[in-house]
Amino acid sequence: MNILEVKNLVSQLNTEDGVLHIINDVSFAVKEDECFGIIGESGCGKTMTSMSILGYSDRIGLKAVSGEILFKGEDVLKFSKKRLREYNGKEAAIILQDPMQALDPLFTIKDQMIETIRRHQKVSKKEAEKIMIETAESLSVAKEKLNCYPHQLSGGMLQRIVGAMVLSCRPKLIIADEPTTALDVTIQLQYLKLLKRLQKEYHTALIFISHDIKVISMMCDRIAVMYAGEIVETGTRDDLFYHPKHPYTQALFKATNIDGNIRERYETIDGAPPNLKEEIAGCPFAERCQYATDACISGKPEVVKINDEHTVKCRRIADE
Amino acid sequence: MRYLAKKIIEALITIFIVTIIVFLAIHSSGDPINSLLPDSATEAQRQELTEKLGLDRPLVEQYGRFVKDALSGDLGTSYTSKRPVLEMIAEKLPYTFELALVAIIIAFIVTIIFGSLAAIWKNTILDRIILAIAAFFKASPIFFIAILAVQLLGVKLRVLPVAGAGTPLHLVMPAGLLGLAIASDMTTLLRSNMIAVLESDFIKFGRLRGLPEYKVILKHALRNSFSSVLALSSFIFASLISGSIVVETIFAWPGVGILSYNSVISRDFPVVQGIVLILSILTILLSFTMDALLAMLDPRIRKSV
Amino acid sequence: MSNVIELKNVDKSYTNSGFLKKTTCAHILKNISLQVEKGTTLGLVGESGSGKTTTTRMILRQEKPTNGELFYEGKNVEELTKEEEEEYRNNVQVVFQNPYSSLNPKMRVGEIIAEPLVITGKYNKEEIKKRVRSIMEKVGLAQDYVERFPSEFSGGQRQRIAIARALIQNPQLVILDEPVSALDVSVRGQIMNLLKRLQEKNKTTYIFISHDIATVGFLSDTIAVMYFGTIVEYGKTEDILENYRHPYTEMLISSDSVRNLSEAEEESGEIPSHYDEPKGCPFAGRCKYATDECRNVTPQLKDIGDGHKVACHNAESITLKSVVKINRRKPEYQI
Repeated sequence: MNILEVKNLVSQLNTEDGVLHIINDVSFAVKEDECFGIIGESGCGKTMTSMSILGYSDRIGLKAVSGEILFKGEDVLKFSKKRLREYNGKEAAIILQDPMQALDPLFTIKDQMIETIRRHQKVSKKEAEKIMIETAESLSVAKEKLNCYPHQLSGGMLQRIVGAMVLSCRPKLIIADEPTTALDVTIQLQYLKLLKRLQKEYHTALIFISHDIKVISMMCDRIAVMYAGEIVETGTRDDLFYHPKHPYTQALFKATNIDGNIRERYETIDGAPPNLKEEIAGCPFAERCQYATDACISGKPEVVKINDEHTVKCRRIADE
Repeated sequence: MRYLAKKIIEALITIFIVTIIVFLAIHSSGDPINSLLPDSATEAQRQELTEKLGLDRPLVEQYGRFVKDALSGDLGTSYTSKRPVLEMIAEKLPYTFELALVAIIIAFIVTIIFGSLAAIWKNTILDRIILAIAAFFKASPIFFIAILAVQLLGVKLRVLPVAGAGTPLHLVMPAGLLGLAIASDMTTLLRSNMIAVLESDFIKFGRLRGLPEYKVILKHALRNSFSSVLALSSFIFASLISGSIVVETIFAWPGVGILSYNSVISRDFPVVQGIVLILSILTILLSFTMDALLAMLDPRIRKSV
Repeated sequence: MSNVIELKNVDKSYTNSGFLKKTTCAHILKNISLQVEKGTTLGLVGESGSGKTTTTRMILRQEKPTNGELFYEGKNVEELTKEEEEEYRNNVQVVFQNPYSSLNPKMRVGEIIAEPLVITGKYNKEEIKKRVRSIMEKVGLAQDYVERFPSEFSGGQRQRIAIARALIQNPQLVILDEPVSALDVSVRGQIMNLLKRLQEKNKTTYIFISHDIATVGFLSDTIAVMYFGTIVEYGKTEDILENYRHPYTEMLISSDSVRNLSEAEEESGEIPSHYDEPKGCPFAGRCKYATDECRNVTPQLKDIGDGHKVACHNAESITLKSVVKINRRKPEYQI
């Protein structure tokens, strides 16, 4: 059962410099209880996609030109303000990258957690406190920390608290947008392990967004690779790691030094992502791709199905 | 607690320094003897008055006497009216208080409402109108605005009284104008702070947790934007004081403002000295109150002592 | 080979004293001794709270050490003459982590890169122009970028601008403070390759700071691992990466090389607070090999052979896993 289906989403972002074609025909589905990863570098559209899924696009000047985002069958893009208020937090929630910035510095953790709990459940203050303490415990957050202010706690602790706040409302879908990037490397693994365990316990679907391939490979069952607002490859973890098909995926894995050996020179991808101010007629990776042909530059490649879960958007693969 | 204690001590030290500055400033601004005696006074008469007023003693001794007397409530006697300075100030102060208090309340209300609205609807017509009005008030000297208001509301439309302090209606124009003048700076500051705060992650996260918009704005955004407005408080009070001198004069409001204007003109040392001292102390105390409020508002300040 | 920079027994503490509260003291750096040989790279590895940023401030002389000495080319910096001081400032440069805040957005790229030369006042306009053009070519920036503003460039390009600015005076030492941490993965390699190439060409000395042991390993000849203000392990890169002896180094390297969450520990603790310093070894609270001695006696840096130093009571007795292999093939240019 798919809890989320993004269908042919095309969105444009209004900025001071003009219109950016930030999401170009993105489609993917997330099953209930699964951990779905989105890999991409900065500017690829992954954060904008998550904002669209949460119905936050209007606030940031993002306009969906076409496509649908179906959450349990309902189109999020058509949600009324009232419906959105129910949706946000209770049915779908987000964990942001920097936990220091995600909380109001003027209120205690306790205040903010109870505020969230009581927003979605009709409980008394005492009951809300109980729920708060239980959820905090399941994330190994000591009771005393709840009386502190955000600036008194470390990044790792705050990210657990954010996790507790999000989980206390039992949403069916959680988006984690680079949740460990701002944390120390020795804390990251603890957090990921915790998150994975809780995802299973609370039966939530998790969309995990990151530019860090190692992290995604540890967390996610199925993964999508995003580039310049398009999804270039989707597959299970094994599909992608043992049989990456798209030239960008392959180049990305090489550049990340995934086998951990230290070489004399880094592998790089020459050039830079395309300017999104114009619509790109062909494959967005064509100008950096060693296999690119004229056909690649002039028209968009079709999506090729390699097996049940593994799809690639590449002309070269289609021709094989 | 420690934070407050530190602030109290700072306040006292500042008051002490202020008394020295006030004393020196007044005493170097001209010889009062000339304005007290007619031109035809003889040298002997000048000498006599100088001795009598103690103006020939060394400066430090004069200062010492000044502080000693002040601490026991004696701020000297007015040269012109021969009444104790403290008494003169005391009878005018409540009027100025009333004016200032109402002006501040108006200023805060205006700032919170219009500053927030301008930030939430930034770059719309509403925002531009608010900014334009604020710019007008910021740029125009207060006497200009006051005279305009007097002409329009008092003379042409005859809606409000223009002089004296009889009824609450008398308070509307002076306090209203003073309040609006102060609000102009506060509003633009609140607006720019709030625009920045509304972009921050915790506001986004609050909305994405499902918090209703009114709570996001009133509880979270406003509180976070307010601290710099409070930090402006000493400037606000300075504007209040200078503004009230002008406003009281134009509207014949019987407060300390008018008194200070007259005393400066007539070089009535003790009165001017007393007024400046009292107003300085009040400003410092109010500043201190604002600092305390800031600490209550922002836990990071409390801990950083 | 002489040392460009040497820190000897440097301590740095910040005291917070008020007349109404008790004095608190945070010992950010404790007994740091480091040296960098000319033309080599010293890697400083550490996470938040390790003191690596404060160490850079000591070397950049933004602040003075509370105790200890800093030597530049053998001379104590406190005894430098005015000319030597100026020479120091020109010869020790830095590239910061955040490419978005380290460049003045109101200045054009050409001005930013020329600024260090302009400040010395020793060069005329023509010379400055020439040198700017030359350094831009070396770091891979197109000539027509001179008139543009930083906001028009990506993170990777901005870092190139920052590197050009740091190198235009041909400094002896460049401090690289997490220069690629804020960049995309596919761009990191470009900048790392560039830094390596420039070092090979100009024989510049680097101090490379990062929390990522893999990138540190790529560029460094020696590595110092820092934790809570002390150096816990120090030695040649191969020794540190292949034969590490300190449990914290093990934690760092295994965090980097873990492929499966089941291998990870759910609880690995946090760095202690500076206001509540633990007795004994600062890592004892998180260390799975900690003994009573560890919790009570602070270990000192001991040489365990060939310049490899470890600050651990159990360095010789515990066995740690070794997972990273250094694969030094012939260099391949990727520009």
